[in-house]
Amino acid sequence: MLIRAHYDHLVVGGGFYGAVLASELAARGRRVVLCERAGDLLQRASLNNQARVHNGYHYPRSLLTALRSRVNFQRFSDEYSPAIVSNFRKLYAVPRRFSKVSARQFLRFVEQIGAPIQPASRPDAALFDRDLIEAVFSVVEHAFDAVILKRLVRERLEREGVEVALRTEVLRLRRHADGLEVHYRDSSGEAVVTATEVLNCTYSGINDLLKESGLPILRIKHELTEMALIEPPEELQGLGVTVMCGPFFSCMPYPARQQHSLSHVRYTPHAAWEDSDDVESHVGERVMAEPKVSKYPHMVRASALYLPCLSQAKYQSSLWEVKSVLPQSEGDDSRPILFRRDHGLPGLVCVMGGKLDNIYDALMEYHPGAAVP
Amino acid sequence: MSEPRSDAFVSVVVPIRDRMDYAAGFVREVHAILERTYANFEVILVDDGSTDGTGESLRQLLKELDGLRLLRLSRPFGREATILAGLDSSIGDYIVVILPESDPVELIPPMVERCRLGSGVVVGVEENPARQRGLAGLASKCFHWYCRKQLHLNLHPGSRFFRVFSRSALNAVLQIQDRVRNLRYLSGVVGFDADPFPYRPHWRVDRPPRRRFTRALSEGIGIILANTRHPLRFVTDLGLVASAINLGYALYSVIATGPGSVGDRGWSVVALQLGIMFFVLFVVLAVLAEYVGLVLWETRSRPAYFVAREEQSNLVKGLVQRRNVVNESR
Repeated sequence: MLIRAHYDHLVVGGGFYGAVLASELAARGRRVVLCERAGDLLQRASLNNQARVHNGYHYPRSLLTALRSRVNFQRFSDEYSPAIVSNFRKLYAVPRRFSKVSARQFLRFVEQIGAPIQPASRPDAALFDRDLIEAVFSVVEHAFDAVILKRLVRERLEREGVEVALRTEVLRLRRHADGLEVHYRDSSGEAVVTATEVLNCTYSGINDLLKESGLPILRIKHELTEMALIEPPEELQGLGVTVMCGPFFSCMPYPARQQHSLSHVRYTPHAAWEDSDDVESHVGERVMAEPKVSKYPHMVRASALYLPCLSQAKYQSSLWEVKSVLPQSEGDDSRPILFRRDHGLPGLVCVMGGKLDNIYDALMEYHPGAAVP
Repeated sequence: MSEPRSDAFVSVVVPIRDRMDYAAGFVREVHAILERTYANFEVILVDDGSTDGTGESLRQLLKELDGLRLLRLSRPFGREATILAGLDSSIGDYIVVILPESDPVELIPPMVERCRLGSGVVVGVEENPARQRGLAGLASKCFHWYCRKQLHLNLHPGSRFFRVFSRSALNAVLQIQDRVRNLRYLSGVVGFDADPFPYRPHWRVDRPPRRRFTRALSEGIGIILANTRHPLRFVTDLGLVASAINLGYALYSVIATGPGSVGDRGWSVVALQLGIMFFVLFVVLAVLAEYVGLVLWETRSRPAYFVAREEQSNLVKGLVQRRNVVNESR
């Protein structure tokens, strides 16, 4: 059961965004509770992702996203430095065919956003198929260790005095004189609490809560995604590779497991759906519970055409996750955060981030003009 | 599943242009046989700028069948380029090229099996092809004889697009960056054993199209020019011999008749001599022009095709249940 009967802020979802927002609010002296359905924090999309700290390179088709990403890169790397892994070389390769940018365009774009770039060393470039790859660049990009990140986030929650309620599922919201009435369920059954403000930070589940509360849903597209974890061949130890921009792949260190992740633009998404009023809620959970067939055989073959040594990789397991994007950003790969105040009910804030390192944009949106630490 | 499915990863490339009436049915057949036989496969449908609604009917299939990919070229680029686009984007260990209008889908597993057992390329060859008669037949015979004897290329008369590549053979084919591509010939030139696989085409159209003689001729010339400099050397020799004879004749006429005494009889001889000389000159020019054209074409490094859009199967197998469907069933 939650300790108090009323909170200033109740945050739904103990992912990275929910946890950081809760800490920020508590740091301003508010009474905050963080409700997480699972038995631990940062268990879903905050854990099951590429663990890439973006430095702009990834967005040649969205200059704004690239520039924001550059700013956030430094900040994120500084703030969470114990979780940052930077002891690997990072390569970006541009194919000759099927790519939406040419090597020259990519180079010009990176120079425009002021990110470090230089031609890859000869042995690194030789790892790629010369007929298919136009150019290989060496860049600066980091990965993060999601397990260490979880520890840092939890320590901060404790420090700021946030009440963390695990195994607590928020079921629905109702209008109330003191703000919002929150119905939740935990090990001791269903109960009700009130809050002046509720932050819906449930990422792919964001519409589930809205729907259960009888509120209008947001336009969000979901994808069931698979990321393979592999033991890389010797040549790729200490190396991260991204081939772009088009139906290509990334293979980079995944520090939380001391393995490499392999994801392919074509084969990582397995199924896509969009929330709508006549589709039942909790589709994502059902999709996640279904038995799944890995597309690793596709991924490794499609990737090994460009990076032949990948065919020597050893498959370990797959990380499955529901990834959610705003339909408007599908075309340009930009991942703007969604931030809506008073959605359907006064005091309900919906936040959905695309990348962990975009958290600063969310914080700025929440406290306009405030200097966030 | 009665038998365990093969672990070979098979890609099937289907070039399609304006085949509204049977394209979707054909893709279904291909899909069914692949799903039965292989644990991992992909079907790459390459739409060569169809305008009759074929593209839309194929897009519908993406919502129905798993493992399909649809590449739509920005305009019609011709069959060779269409197949090339599919091959470029394929990822399988064995890659099948199959034409919807003529090829039997049930031969895919035996052909892949043959390819697995050793040969780099298995080529579908028409059983008892319609015999070409007259001049066309003679030209065809000469062409195949020339390719076999002089170019050491065994082109298998009656060979069709229906074929299977192993990954290593396909990579070799794709490395040949020629603009003037002819798949049936390239499969042979990479040096992998091309294993003929006789079959009887299963025509899904009423009247099998006949290859026009002019078309065949131009393909044949293309293959020879892209592969050898024999014709160039031949005309060089021819030019030298002709001019030597001509010089001899000129000297003879000066010596035999002396200056200023060309009689009436000489006119026809001069006309004959000029005629032969011009014939030889134009043969030389024609061959040179063909090679210059080829060089020009190759130096303009323009892609053989442009892909306008790539889509793939997107199934949420019964996971998203629409409420209104439930209501209607009551």
